[in-house]
Amino acid sequence: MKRISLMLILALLFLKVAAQNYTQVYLIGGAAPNGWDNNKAEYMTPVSTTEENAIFTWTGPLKASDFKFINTLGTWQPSFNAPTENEPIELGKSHNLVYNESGNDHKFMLSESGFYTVTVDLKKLTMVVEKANVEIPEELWITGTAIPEGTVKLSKIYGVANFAYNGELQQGELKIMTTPTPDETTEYIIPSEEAMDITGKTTLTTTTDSKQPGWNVMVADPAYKIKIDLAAKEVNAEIYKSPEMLYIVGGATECGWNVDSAIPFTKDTNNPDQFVFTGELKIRPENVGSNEFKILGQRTWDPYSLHPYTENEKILESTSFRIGGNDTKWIVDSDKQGIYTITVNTFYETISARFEPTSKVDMLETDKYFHYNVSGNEVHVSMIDGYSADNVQLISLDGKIVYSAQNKTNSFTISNNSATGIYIFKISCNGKVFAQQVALQ
Amino acid sequence: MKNLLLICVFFILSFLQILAAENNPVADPKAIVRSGDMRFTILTPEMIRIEWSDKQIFEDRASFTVINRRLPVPEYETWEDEEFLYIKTEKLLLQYRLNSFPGTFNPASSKNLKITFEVDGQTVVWYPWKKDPLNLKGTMRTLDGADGENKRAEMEDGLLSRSGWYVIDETAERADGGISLMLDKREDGVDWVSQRQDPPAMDWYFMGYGHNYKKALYDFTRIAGKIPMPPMYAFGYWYSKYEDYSADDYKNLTLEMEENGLPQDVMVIDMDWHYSGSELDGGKGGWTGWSWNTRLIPDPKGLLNWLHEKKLKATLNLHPAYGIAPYEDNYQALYNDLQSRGMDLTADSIINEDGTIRWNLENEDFYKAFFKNIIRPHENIGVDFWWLDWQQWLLAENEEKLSNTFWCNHVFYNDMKAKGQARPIIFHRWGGLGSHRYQIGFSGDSHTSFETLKFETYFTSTASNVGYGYWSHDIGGHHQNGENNPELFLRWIQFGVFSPIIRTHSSNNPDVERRMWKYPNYPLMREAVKLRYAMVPYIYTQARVSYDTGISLCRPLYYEWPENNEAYKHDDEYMFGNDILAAPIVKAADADGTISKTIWLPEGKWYEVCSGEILEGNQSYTRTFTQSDIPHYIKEGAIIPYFPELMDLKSRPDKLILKFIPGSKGELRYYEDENDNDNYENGAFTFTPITQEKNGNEGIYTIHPIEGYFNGMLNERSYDIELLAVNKPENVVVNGLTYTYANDEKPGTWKYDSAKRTAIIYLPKIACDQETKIVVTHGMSSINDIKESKQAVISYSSDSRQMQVSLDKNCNNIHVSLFDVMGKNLLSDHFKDARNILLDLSTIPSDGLCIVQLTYDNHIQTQKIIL
Repeated sequence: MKRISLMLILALLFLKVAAQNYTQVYLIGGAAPNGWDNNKAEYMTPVSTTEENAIFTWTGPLKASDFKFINTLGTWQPSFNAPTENEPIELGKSHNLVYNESGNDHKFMLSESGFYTVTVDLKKLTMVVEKANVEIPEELWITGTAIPEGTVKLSKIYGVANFAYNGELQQGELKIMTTPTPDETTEYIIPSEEAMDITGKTTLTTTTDSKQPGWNVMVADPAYKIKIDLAAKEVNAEIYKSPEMLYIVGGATECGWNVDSAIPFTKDTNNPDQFVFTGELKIRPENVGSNEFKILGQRTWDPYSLHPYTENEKILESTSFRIGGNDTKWIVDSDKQGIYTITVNTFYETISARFEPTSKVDMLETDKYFHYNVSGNEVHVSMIDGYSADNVQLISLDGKIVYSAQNKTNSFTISNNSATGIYIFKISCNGKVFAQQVALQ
Repeated sequence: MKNLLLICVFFILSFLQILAAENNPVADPKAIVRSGDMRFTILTPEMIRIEWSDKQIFEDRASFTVINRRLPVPEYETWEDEEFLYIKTEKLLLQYRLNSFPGTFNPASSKNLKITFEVDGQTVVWYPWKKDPLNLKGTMRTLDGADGENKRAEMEDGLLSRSGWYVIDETAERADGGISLMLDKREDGVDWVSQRQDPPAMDWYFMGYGHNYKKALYDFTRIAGKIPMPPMYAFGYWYSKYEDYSADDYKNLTLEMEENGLPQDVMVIDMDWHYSGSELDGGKGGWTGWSWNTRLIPDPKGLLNWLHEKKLKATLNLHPAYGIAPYEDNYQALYNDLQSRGMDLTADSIINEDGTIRWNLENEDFYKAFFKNIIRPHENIGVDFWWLDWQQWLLAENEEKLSNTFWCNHVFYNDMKAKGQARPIIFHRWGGLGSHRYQIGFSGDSHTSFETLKFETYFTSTASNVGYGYWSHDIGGHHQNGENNPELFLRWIQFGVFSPIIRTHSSNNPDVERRMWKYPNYPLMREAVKLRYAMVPYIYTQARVSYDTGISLCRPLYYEWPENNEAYKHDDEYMFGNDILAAPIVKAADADGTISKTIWLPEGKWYEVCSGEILEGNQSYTRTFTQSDIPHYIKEGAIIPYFPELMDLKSRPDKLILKFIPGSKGELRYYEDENDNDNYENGAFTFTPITQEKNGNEGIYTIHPIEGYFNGMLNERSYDIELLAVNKPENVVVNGLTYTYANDEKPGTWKYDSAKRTAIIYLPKIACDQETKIVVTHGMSSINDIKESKQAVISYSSDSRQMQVSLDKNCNNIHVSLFDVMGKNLLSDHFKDARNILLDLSTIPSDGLCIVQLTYDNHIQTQKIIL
């Protein structure tokens, strides 16, 4: 009986060892370029496979987040994990790996985004992370017959090596270069496949040969968005179309996560790419993710949604967003609960938020104290039952007070000298404050 | 005698046309260039078939996509040098490296094969597996689950691209996992599926049409078959809802539609016609069924006869996937038939343990036995056509890479065609390229929302990029959460008027109401359906255009204006036929019931039907519309034929209303045929050319003699001639006879409606084979002198409830109308030689927003007021 047990144990051990695959390994996680999609985990290049070792390496951009390794694409098990949960990475130091078929799913945690080289040895079960020696140019220029101005400097956007062009393209050709004007040091960034149009996703390569063709532009349009990711060696371009609507939804909003009731932004009639939300954002314990929200292009979860680049990004510190991708959310601070004005530009993919600077913001019940309506470029206000407006303001989106009056009673009209656009109409009455965005036309 | 001669000539010409149009999958040998493992077939100056087979086995049979390669051989040159073979047509230059595999991998490149051509002044290079980010998309199998825009990213590529090229890859997997298999010819039935002789071979059709999208589609239908004409009745209203209706329910629905003055042509009978597992039936039946549920419909033949007496066609839903269970009617006959054909009825692949005969349409014996024993008995008692509703596994179980969707389409459509009785029609989903030959498309179970409605406008017109021109959507949406929304249902119906098929439908949620006459805004819904019926002569003529040209009824603006960027950017606008730009309302109204919509009009002048104004194109307009408005715009010079009011499309009215849009020149070729058979494919049809032209201040409107012949054609017909957006004519002469001005609408008279700025000329019945010429002497009116003017000041005082109209000068003829937001006329008044008018509105019953329409001399002005 003892003998049979021993044989069984040996057999199980053999099966376990046999299941471990030393020929391939993939890096995956929140830190990896494709996140936790196990069909798109990062392939690690084999360096050495002997009886003693099975070494693989990968170089590329990693975000400040967690990661681990999987043996096969599309399958979570087996994996290679950290020995402890969220084990902090120490650059240059060897960490132990744990082969995992069903045990604890511990990850490594990287504290800073950047370019790294990750080396693992599947047989010795070790891992080392080092800063990669990759030179990313600080500045890039886009040039060619497709650029109306001839040459334009690209803007640097979120990420390790990401640049963008937002503007017009005419029919012709374009390429990207590392100097504002060509000289003997100039490197050119061009498509890696021939005769490619700029639209869509293409892979890039670099050359010092100025005669190599760039991307074609078949369709002239005043509003292209081009994003260059030097780390992923990709260029993504699209002809921009302004969304019709934006909506805010989340635990911090009045509608909670009820997508059917998501709250609309107001589209700026003077700038169809600009949307403004004014309303109350606060921690609502009755909701899951009580301090979170995101932005949608429709009253369904898909297909168009806006997210911060990092999870739980503070809205007051957020300056840019991405369209689609991981389902990250913005958050409101516990000491900044109340009325917010959020301005979103979907062409430049920028966001800014302003917290109304009052310590006692409350939603005034308008029907109790006053009525108002917007007509053309005027707001008509009628106070009810002898109430007076302690303070009335019209505030432009850049925060400028364009109208202010105190102690207004009965009926009165406010405007910004016949100017049009979106404003915040703010009124204080009976110790409460009401703020609402209005579109003056 | 002269007529007889004309008819003979017409038939000879038609016969020659038919001979020329006969499909033949074997290309002219003179069109073929061979080189090693390659075979190139030059089909048109813009299209080359490219085949590679290392066994040098090439296919000359029809495929699912391509059924005709016998095109006239275009001029081309071919030559070789040491490295390359070259083929040069008028439009393309192909270069192939001798003795090479035609493509390269990692990266794809032009090293071994490339085609060079010009697009919009730019040289474009194509090579195998080149990516195309600028494809303009086509369609997809179904809108099941469509909710707003969520299906946009899943749409398959279409035949058109702003890059100027497309490749039909016959040997690549389609979206449903099938491939374009081959069709073996059957002389007396349905051509049958067959595998390719050399499956690893490559078989491509390169199409380099640049931005000549119309020619690309036309040439596609030359190789892939024409878009057939649906029967006339299909363009009428289809009532449908998924409910376990009884025979009495169907009769009551029909009678209620009659009582409410709602025209109707098709009654859709959903799956509960058969036993479907109800406890009331002892659980008999299920999702698939073939036997009438006699608890609900005790006398199926009686019901179908009754519907036919009411001039309705009946279609039955099928979910065929789960085969034929032993309890089904005619099961034993089917079993015996299959056995007699030598089928092994003990095999697991043929029969389930419980005796159910498995679905096996890919087997020719099964097809024959199944149609004979299961399908025909239903057809014989009056089922007019089948609603195939395949929702299960996408590939056939017994034929490799065979798409069930495509195959159901092919077999059911061609079986009906082979019967040679009524014009073939099925109702099923898109099954990949080639499905355009099997109309109508059923788009499946979408969600009820304005966002989904909006997406359907884009989706419907974009499907024309693969020739799939007859999508039928669930109008009102299928999955509806929440209450019935009268406004949304109305807007969906209005879109239905300007879509290929108008069919209301929903899930079996009892709270969802699809009987439009139960809605408070039913008058507007009925008005929309009546407009649809009035427009059928135009729609049917455009269906013929689709058949002849490959250009579907609903098509994107970029077909006509390919070099204008704006033509690609307005998804909820599309051309409805050659002459009408449709821009249905797809958003909820503002609180006042009206809605503003910004509409881009292409270059030229456009008649705005809602206002009667002429608008200059190549610019955008933001217009305000009421609930009754369906924004649509007619091209200058267009002539649109309308029917008088009808309750169904089964009879041929002997009167036609012709609406002429101002323009220097215009032509309509009004099409007619026998409506419900295939004789139109054999020359049995007519065209009536109708023209308009200007000669100084004279407008000449001519109805030319009819061309062609078919059984049942009219010998004579009366016409109402409506000249839109004109001033009152000075004189009307018809065939030399001066007509009198009168208001009695009798033949031989004409009248002028100043509010609508329309002159109407009433023609008596005239012989269709004779020319009728109408010469109208206009005053100063023309398309050029009509513009929107805001010179009048309209003001309203709520205190006195009076409206004041102040003009800048005295006007001779002033007409003031007031409408509520539902389009109801509240007031209509005429004034002569006035400048200031005061109207008392205290008797107007409704409050809220109203539309004032003011017509004075040459101007039309509209303005909103709030009562």
